[in-house]
Amino acid sequence: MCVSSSINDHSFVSGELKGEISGNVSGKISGSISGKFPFKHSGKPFLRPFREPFRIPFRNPFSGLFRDESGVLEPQADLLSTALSVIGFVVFAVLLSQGYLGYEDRSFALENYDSVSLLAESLAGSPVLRAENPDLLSARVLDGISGTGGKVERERLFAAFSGNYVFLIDIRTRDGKWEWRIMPDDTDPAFFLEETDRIAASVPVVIELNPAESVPGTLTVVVYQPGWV
Amino acid sequence: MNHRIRMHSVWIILEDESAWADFLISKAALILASAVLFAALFQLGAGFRSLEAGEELDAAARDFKAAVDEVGAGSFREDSPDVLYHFEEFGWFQFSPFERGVEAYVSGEYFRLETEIDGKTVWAVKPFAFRVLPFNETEMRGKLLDRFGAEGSREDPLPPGYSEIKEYLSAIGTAEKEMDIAKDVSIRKEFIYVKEGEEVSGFVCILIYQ
Repeated sequence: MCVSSSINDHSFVSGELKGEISGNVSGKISGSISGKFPFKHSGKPFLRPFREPFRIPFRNPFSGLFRDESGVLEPQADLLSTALSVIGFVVFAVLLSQGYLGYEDRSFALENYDSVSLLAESLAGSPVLRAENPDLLSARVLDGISGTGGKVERERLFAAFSGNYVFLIDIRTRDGKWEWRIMPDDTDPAFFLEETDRIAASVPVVIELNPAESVPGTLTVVVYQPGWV
Repeated sequence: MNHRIRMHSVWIILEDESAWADFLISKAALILASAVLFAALFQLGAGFRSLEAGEELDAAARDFKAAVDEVGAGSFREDSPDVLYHFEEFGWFQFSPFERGVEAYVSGEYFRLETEIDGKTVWAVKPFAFRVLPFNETEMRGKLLDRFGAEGSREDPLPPGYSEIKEYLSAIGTAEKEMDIAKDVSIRKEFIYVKEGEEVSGFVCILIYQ
């Protein structure tokens, strides 16, 4: 028979007992225990009434530190709350940095959009793209400057801009029937076909197709992401 | 009887060393985590301070770039006045958290502000959209005269060849020039004329100088 007993909620004693226990186990135990005990004891009766102090004489001073599992939950509760606060802080820092990065992206795009918008406005008012009428873009001039024979005009147009912004000018009528595209000659045309980031700004213009007909349209400047971005 | 039980409980508490493990593990972890947490918080605060200072520098550089680009855009219109730019009107440079004075540099491609925050050098660089030269008109005309044998004025236009002219202007504009932010900066447009056969046409250059 195997008997185990938990005493004072801290010390656990077990051993093999030979013999019999008589009487009511859940109540008061009467009689005595006899047989071989696997460890030394003081000779007093092994089981005592529970209310009396019980002392195990062979107990080591720090035995409870290693043998007792009753406190295992408590440090974990502390660690759990600490871990939660650290995780909360990390999430806060990540959200903060994400917000800042988003703001950076937006402000960068906005700042570049301002520059592109300025370029579009400047070009819409440029005398190079106009003919006799100062308020209208001339289709004849656009035909010349965007064609193969307009190299000098294109060079003159792009000479006023720094090389920091690589851009093309797209002018089209609102009905989509007519479109002109002006690209700088010192940039490889394949560059404008690449899948790079680009920022575009449009301004409304009026295009004089011939002396009898003027149609509304848009002038769009598309800036391609250059090396300094 | 009650007194005896209470004494017994106290005796058990004094006798029992099992709580030492809890104390050592949980409190040490708590102290360590608190130290890390506070260090991270202070680091975050310091980081934001330098970020804010960098943003201020960036805003100042952006304002100057906007002023230059505005003159460039105005050159396509007839009514574009020249600008006398004051750095001091910000008031940032006197009351700023920067450890040393703000230095300003300008070249034909960009404008750069440089200073030091928390022992680190910080720059704010803004590229110009229009063609810029960091010279006054006399210097620019002199350089064009040396290179092309003409000043590039309406009376004395440059010989044809936009590509060569653009390359030369880009080359002479690459060197940085330091600017005194206590003084006003002149931003003005100047036309460079080129002869194309019988016709003379011009394009705009923005000159920045003190």
